[in-house]
Amino acid sequence: MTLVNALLVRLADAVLAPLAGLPPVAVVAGCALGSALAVLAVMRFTSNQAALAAVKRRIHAALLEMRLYNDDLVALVRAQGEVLRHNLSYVGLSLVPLVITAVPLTLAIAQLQAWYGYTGITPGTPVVVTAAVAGNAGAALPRLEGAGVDLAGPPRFFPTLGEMTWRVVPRTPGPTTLRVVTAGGAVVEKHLYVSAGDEVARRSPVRELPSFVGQLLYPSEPPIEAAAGVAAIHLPYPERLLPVAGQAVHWLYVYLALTLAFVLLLRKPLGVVV
Amino acid sequence: MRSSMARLVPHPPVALAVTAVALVAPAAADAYIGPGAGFAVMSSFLVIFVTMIVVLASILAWPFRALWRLIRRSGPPPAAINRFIVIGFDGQDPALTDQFLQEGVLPNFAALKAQGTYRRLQTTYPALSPVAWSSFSTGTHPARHNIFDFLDRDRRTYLPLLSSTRIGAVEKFFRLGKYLIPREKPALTNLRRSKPFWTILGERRIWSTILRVPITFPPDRFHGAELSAMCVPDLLGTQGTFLLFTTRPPAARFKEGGQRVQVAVTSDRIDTVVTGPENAFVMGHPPLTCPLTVTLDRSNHRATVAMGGEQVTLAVGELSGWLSLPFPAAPGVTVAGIARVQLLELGEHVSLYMSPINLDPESPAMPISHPDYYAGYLAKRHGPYATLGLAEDTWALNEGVTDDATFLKQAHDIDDERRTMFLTSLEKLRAGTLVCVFDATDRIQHMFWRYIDPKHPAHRKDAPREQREAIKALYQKNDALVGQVMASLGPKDLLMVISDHGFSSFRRGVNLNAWLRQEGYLTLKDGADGSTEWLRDVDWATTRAYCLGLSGLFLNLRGREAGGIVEPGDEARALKAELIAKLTGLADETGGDIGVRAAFDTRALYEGPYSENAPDLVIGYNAGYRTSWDCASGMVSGPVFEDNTKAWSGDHCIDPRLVPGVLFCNRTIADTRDLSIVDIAPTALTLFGLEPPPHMDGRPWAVAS
Repeated sequence: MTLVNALLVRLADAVLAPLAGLPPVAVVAGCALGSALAVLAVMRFTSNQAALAAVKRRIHAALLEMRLYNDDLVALVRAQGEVLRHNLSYVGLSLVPLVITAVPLTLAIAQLQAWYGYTGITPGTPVVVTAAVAGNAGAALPRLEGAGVDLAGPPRFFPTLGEMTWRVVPRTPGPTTLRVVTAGGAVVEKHLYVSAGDEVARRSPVRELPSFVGQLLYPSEPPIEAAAGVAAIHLPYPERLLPVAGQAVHWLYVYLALTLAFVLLLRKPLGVVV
Repeated sequence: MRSSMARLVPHPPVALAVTAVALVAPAAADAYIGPGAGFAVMSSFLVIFVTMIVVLASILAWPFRALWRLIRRSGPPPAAINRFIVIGFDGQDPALTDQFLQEGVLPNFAALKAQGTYRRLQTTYPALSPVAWSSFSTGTHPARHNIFDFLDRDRRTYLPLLSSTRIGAVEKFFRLGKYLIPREKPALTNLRRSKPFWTILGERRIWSTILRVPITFPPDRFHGAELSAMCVPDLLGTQGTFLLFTTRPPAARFKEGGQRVQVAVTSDRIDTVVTGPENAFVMGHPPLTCPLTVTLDRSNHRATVAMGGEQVTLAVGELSGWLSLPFPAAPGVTVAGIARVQLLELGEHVSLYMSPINLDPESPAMPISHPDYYAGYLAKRHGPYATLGLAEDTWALNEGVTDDATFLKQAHDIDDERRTMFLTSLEKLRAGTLVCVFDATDRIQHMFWRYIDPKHPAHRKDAPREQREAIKALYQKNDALVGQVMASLGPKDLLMVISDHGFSSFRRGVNLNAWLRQEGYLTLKDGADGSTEWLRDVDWATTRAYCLGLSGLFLNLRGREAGGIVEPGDEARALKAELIAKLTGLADETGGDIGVRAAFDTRALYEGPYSENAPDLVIGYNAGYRTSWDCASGMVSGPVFEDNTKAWSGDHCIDPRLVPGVLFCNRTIADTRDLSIVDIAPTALTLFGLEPPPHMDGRPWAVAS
């Protein structure tokens, strides 16, 4: 998974870095269009299109039957049963494309989240860096170092949570690296992207021990080695919200809504049954 | 560690995306798996949600609707029956039925006869399907329902009009560049008058499902569902125009319902277009077109036909299933049709047959059902089906474009479509009426009678058994359906199997217009020879009588016809009497038989508010005779009597006394009088506890309980 993530990070950076200057909504819309085309292609080539069309027709027929025989409760219930039965067939027929689209799109969403999910930590503004410490609380505590950042005050340890926090004040914009050094001398690094404005860049709020879910969620950095004595490091990047019709909306909702809209719009011209 | 992770994950949507991959998550979360998968799952749950709402709303509203009906006293009265099921086999002949019963090949009909009733059923004057089925549905004679023939005439021009329907043009548009946006719907009128009995039943909330009963276009509005039949046009607005795409050099044009399209083969490929109706959405109304490509595979004797985004590969002689024919009319507007194709030849010449373009039942260009979505419901449930009124392509066979086997397949496929609809409707019907008319009996007898009549000019002794026994096989198929229905009947269900008329051979055609000319009642314009269609050669200033349609003879009456010269009253009466006297027993000297048995004065046959629209005489041809093809198309030239050598070899447009229909019923009918098709509507009303309206001509039968 680490290797896959490394490749995906390179690929995503190659594609998204040149687009960083564009409005995020436009890039998200473009990605939604691409995703919709991918979904349609997968549906077209991996599903039984004729069977899907047939089952959809039967669902429609059962719905119309409910409208037709709306005075007859028995007919209504029977039609409902047919709808449910055909729905199961529909879901069954969608299963293969569902699985096939789920994996790449989830990986793509994780990459997009790294680029468009967060805004920057600004210079001069103190932020709290949290490290989940592995092992017992009695052990010697780690320390934090980092180029271009100042520590504002002493670290604090919360034994019941097994967490260590530092108040950090970034000095200059741009990428930098924080280093958590354990008492045993092990060093765990964490990337930090400091930005004066709302620029688009890869940001990762968490680096943690190896886990499938963790690596799917936070692919930007390799996982922490288990022997390091630190379980996770968290940076509180503010969430990026996109302006849509006067409302601030998470990019993922915009992406999903647009993808569904594109699928709906393009399915007929492209002759795909979904 | 888990709680720590929870705090460290600040973005629920992303977390959900991953969780959903890892776990089988609830429906809402599945949307985050991936847009495609989410789409599938969301669609399913949306459908389930909608159906739940519909069911819940219906259940909650049901007591209120029942209460409202109670207050309005519009609920159904106590009925003697629960379900009234009518199977109409158009044209089932009593003589053939008797013969097959005797041969023992109709066991279910025999069982029905033994259980209840088997009688002759009097038909209407004339014995034509549109007339007889209108009498069936309204319980009235033609003078009250206004349908006297397939065709009527325009009294101003003498040109033929469809007797049952008027389709108006849209006159008012908004203009948007080259596009025209209609401001109104085209006027569509069913000219059949009087109420069908299912409309009267519906007024008391008794449900009816009416499938393909002739003269139901545009459909009736009532408590129930109806699919229109006879007189539903094809997409070109005709009653059925087949297309022949061919590389053969132009030949004489088809006389009946066909168009030849000249095509060329380039690199084993034909690129052409299917020409549809006029585009009402564009200035100048150019014809709509749909590209058609035929790619030839000569080595395998087959071709791939592509049109409207669909393609099918056919061997020579193979008939395709229904193919979509979308005609883009304007941005976002498509006129949809369906058709079947057959590769007729693939050699030196290439020919492709295309059936008449039926209105696509999923999105018909005209209303062909009640409720509007009913046609679409049937299509979604059972697949595409023929919507054209006279759906079986008799004209293509008559013109020799298709062959017997193709016609049989087409007719049986259409019949099967209807059986499926009928049986599903029967299963759904828990109380009320179900009527379904099956046309295959009529069409196959029209086209295959020559094989059971050795005296027919088109008879072939060496015909394959499938053709020779086509009629018998169909009767047996119908028998099986009757058996299926009988098995599903409850104790309070009433089943009637009826036909609107019988059948006879059509060996010799009679051109009564030629006879009228010969006798001096009809004259031609100077220099005309009478070979022009639709009576265009007739000199109306000196013509006293003319024929139009399949059975009607009209006087050229002053004040009624634009060029009328016969005075109403004594002169008209005298002329009618004179014509009746001359026509009765009109001999066919070449054929050696009587051509016309009787001519009936319609004033003596029936009286009603639409008597004025009736022909003055209905001609009762003898068995073996019928109006000739030339006379039916308004030609005056040629002999009075001539052999009919066409495939259309059986008919029923003769003396109605010679072609009664059949009536089977699962209960005894005690009446000793002759039973008539007009009696069925009042009988149905009576069985459901309603009083037949006084205008009905029929009288209810005494059906045993």
